[in-house]
Amino acid sequence: MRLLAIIAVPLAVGAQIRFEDVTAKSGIGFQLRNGAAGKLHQVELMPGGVAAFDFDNDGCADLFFTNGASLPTLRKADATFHNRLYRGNCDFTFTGVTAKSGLAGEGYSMAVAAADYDNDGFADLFVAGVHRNTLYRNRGDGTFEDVTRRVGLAPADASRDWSISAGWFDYDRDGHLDLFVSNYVQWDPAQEAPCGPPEHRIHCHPKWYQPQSHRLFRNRRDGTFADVSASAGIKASPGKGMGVAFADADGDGWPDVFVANDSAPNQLFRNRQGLFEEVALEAGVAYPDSGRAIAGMGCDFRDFDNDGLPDLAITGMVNDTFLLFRNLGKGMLFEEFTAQSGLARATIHLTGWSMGLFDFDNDGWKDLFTANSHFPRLERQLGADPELANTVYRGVGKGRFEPGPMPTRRAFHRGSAFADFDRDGRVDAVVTALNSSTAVLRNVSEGNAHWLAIRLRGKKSNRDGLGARIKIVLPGGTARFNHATTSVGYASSSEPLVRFGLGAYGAAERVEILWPSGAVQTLDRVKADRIVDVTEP
Amino acid sequence: MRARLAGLILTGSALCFGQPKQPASLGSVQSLIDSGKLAEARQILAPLRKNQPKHPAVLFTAAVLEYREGYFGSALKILDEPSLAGNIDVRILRAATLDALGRDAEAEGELEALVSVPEATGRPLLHLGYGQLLLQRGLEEKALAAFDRALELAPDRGEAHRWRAIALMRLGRSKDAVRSAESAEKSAPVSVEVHSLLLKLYRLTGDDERAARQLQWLRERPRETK
Repeated sequence: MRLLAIIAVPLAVGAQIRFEDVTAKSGIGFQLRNGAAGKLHQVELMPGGVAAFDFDNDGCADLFFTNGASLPTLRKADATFHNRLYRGNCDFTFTGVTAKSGLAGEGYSMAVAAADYDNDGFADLFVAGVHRNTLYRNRGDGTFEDVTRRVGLAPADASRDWSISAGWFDYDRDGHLDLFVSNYVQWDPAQEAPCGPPEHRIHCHPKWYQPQSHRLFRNRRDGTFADVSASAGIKASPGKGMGVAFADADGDGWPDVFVANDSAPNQLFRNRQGLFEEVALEAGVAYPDSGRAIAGMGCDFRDFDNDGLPDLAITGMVNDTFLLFRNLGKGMLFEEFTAQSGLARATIHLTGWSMGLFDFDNDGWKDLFTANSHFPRLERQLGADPELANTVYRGVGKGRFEPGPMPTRRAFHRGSAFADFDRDGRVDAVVTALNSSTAVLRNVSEGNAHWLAIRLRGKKSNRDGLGARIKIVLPGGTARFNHATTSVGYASSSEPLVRFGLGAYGAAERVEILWPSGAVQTLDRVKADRIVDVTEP
Repeated sequence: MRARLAGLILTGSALCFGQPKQPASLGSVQSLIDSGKLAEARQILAPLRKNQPKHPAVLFTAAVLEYREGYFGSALKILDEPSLAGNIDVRILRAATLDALGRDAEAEGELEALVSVPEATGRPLLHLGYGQLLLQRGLEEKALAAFDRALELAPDRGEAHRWRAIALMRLGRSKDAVRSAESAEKSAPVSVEVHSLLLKLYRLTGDDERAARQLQWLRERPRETK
């Protein structure tokens, strides 16, 4: 039987990843507006995050879109700038419910991070933006309340923060989710200097702006937060933060933080029992091997080679190449693996924003999806249209990736969120685009590969189980690894379920869950092709 | 956008386009480009381009200027003018421009052809650029040979030692890589690129003491942007 199973694997592995653009029939009419009005403000390049989450606990993934505002006022001057909430109907149709939800928002929104911060069973939303961040508590009845000031997430010295990404994780392992906010640069619309020659102005390079420190807010377990950025060791290392992602890179049980920086060295904050040390240089992820910082954008912190160690993928700008760093263990040491993976040549001509490492064809190897676009007004530099199509790279094992086919729609793509919107076991994608319609992409990959999704319910750990590490052991002993996180890509948030492709295997021999609390849970002979609800013992 | 092969580009007296005779003021344009005064260079070049729009030397200088300013698309358009065809420096600039545009397969093809052209094969930077493109494709052994050739021509070229070290590191020859990176350090003692590579290599080889020294050096420098 074992031999048969091994022989059967290639049958499932051969499938191509394919996405169908179903935007037109999805009911999602959202268009991301950046408020650009010819003044070339830096902020207009950077929106818009999107979240895939289940706000009403009906088992269908819903969508929340951040939106821009008028410039230079940073006000949502009319309804076209409102953030939007869509309820998913589990069939790739969505119903707009923004008005009832109270999520239309204020100010220039950039990013969103979804998770149940108060452990009440309903996913909440943190919306990051330009000089204004907002925490919306999910009341559980389809409405949300702005609790930002009440809970302590609007410290006085944060009023000029330009926050570009954020994520929820339990850094102190107390069972309550904390918040990391990735901040970009100091920016004032009244002091935007002109860049480029007078006859063709362009947006300024990030080097002309001063970096900002990121923020860490500790959940006090009573629904309020304390700004511990300085005491926890975050504030001392300012950056030009873009995407943020979490994983326990050194296997010590404490989740670490990676921040992709724009044209500055990346940052890796190593969590030493609740105190952070920035170690990107010694870990080998501050720079690629070339030693020159890239224009880092989105990131994902997952194990792409199935060796049990979380690796890193980062998008960058044309001629940077997107980056892959393979975790070697050895006390937090990574090697750049971009060229060896095939991604250097495949991505050097691209500028990527959001992204995600998911097993789109369920063959057991994570694949890479990237949302792409060059910067606008760079036709003279590029000699080409700055709008780009998105791309998918199929993981074929041993850390190698091959380009796959994608819908050819070109746009200024930005944020992306990933979830299984039609519950067919294949991870789908939604991608925002500046001043253009959203791309709703249904995964229609063929093949008979099996899958398994784990929906966690923490008891001592945070209720979403974020940070839980899961190992699946397949018949024959092959293992697959993943962990629970919603912080994926750029400015965006994806479903909290932990998904695995099982290839030809109709069951997992064993599922091992290491909860953030330290509890270990094992499930035996778990049948495939379903969502398994697991409650922490 | 990054101009990785910028070091390959020449202006001024190294150019030879034969007839027609080069306009006198073009030399000052080239000097201004070389000294980074690009706006001034553009000002002087504008009337030359208007009066002699097809002159090869004028066109080439215009392409260099576009390249130096990061207008790679415009540079490529100029370089595709028929009157520039065949010139070695034009081909090198074209390869560098293609590389800057992320069209690395075309750039690699052009450099592969150029490294065996007699007028070009003695240029170490050409081999260095070619090696970088090979390395990007995952062809470490071929890249190593290109870096070795660059070092034969210019043994003190720190960049060539550094890229050779990267190729060796990817081949798993960490100790050889350390030696190459240390040679790079001698040529470029204050290079962040070299010190971050040495840090990586010392960590890979378990030399914690030297790794700590590199880390200290890097931490004491302000975080730079590119």
